[in-house]
Amino acid sequence: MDRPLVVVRDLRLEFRTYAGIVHALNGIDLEIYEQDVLGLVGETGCGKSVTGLSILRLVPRGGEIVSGSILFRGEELLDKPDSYMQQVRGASIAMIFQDPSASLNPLFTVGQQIETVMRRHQRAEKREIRRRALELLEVVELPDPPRILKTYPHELSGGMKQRVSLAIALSCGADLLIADEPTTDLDVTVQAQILDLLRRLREAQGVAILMITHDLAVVAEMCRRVAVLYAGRVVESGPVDAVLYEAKYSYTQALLEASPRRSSRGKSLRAIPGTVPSGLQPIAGCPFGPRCPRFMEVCEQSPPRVNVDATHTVACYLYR
Amino acid sequence: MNRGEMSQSAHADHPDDVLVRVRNLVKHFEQGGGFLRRNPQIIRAVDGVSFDIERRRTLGIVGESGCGKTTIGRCILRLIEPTAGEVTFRGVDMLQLPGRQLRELRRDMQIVFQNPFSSLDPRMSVLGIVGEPLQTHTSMSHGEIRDRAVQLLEQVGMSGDHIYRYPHEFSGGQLQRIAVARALALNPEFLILDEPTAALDVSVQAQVIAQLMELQGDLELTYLFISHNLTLVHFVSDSIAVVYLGKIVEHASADKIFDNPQHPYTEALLSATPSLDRELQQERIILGGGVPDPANPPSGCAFHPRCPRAKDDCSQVAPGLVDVGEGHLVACHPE
Repeated sequence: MDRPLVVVRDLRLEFRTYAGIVHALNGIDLEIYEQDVLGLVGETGCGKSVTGLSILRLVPRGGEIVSGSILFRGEELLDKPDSYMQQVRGASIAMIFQDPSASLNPLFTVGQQIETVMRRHQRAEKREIRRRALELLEVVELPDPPRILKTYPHELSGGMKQRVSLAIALSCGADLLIADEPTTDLDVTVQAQILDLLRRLREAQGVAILMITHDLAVVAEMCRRVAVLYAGRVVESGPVDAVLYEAKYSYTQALLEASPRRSSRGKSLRAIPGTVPSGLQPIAGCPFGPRCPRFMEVCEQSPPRVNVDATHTVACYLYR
Repeated sequence: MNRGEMSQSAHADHPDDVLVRVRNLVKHFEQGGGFLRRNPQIIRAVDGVSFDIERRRTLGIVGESGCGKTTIGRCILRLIEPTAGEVTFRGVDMLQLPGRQLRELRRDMQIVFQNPFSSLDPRMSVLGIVGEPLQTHTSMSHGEIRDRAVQLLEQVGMSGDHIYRYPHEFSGGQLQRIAVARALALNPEFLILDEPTAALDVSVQAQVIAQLMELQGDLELTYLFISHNLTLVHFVSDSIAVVYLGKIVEHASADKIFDNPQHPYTEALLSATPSLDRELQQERIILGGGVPDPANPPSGCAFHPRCPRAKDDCSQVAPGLVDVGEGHLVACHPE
């Protein structure tokens, strides 16, 4: 279980904008293990979606990976030609997004969209592909697969559309599924269905999941390991038990205290003073320093990655 | 600021502690009608909802998308006209009130919307936004309005220097606080908060919620808090009404709803909500399907097709809201 599938090292990414260069990722270090679920958690603009897209080398226009390394099964993805990446996308690494009505094509039926992906990556007869498409719709637990195959996305509810995009993602036996806020737009009861489905698919098909989310509670329930992102850096990472229940980094602690939970009723929510840095100025020291209640002079210099124990790391001087 | 004469006397006639009383509120929308299509579909967005909100308390309304929770809020203010029912505010029947008196009463009831990026006019300065209600409803001079705007901004934890800035210069959390400042401009007694933090990050949500709770204490405000987030509703509310397809299925104190839910839908909602609390991360009750189309609701109890405890008569007879003890209301056929 603990063989690394993806290893990201010191990934740096910049966006060129009218306002100047935005430093979106400032040295991301990540490991995703085979058949594991890694949560990538952080607030708006921390770089979590861009990290997911970078692994597929689908960086949006204006963005550029300036340095770093992304190893997939030991192969450096950043050196590979586009044709190689086209084989990786969909077949080895697949992705689902927050809004399935934006990621599905409204002009094609569900069947056409699943089959397009399969024909791109697999050699099989038409009838065989149709059979597998039906099978996939059954795997994602959509009722009446033959009918769903002929429907257009607008005929389906949000939860059903997310199941369809999941079927497409799984159609070619990917080893890694990048799920970018897959349940954020869904109702709670439907979210529970999709999370449950993801959990069972991981067990049945052995697919590793990179779960990108802003919701700590989703991480607590879905993931085994978690990386907390702040201003384009991994500030704390390790097993969920350690990071969410014995948090070391000030931002992780503050985020947990800002999250309402059932046991905290009657107490007040602790707001985090200050705002997230814009990314326009490169940050020399600890990114959370200006907002940190435990700020020290040494925090003006970039903090080292400290191992709290064998699996739990934190970028903070306090634990050196 | 002084409240209107009429509402003053109404207040005296209505001595108990209920500020807002809603009875059998109904809102039906027509869809797909028009010149060529004779039979429009009727969507029962709100289908007979009743509740009271006590002074200085918070009632939370929770439900999934399309359940009618936003429509309930807007019907109370008559931002949309209810089809039927009764809404009284301080004992005055809102729905019978002619325009002028309605406007007069509306000074005391305000609303904060979900998305501050669309609810604040990008072409107005903060002074314009926060000062507009004062301009409409009072005879304050420009200088007085400016002073009051500065005071309101400070009340929501922002610097008074911001009054000449425009919405694009602020973050989502700051904008939402400006929206709260605008709502507070006329010293209202009652605030409808319609998903006020749904568009915000957790840390910013914490700022806004903490601010709202502090203001409630300081200004003796009454809140109707509408949200899909159960954990958050539990955190801020004194009592909670759970809404499914235009009807209240359970209504009780916040703690009763959480500790002793009686309706299977409430149970399922609670169970489906991901939690950071370890002891709540157990086996889930996972409902099949989604919320049915409100244009074509299931017969009998609208929840019966998804209900794990459905019996034969659940598809025949819609259960009424019944008190099962100490004001804990549940709409479910007894076992």
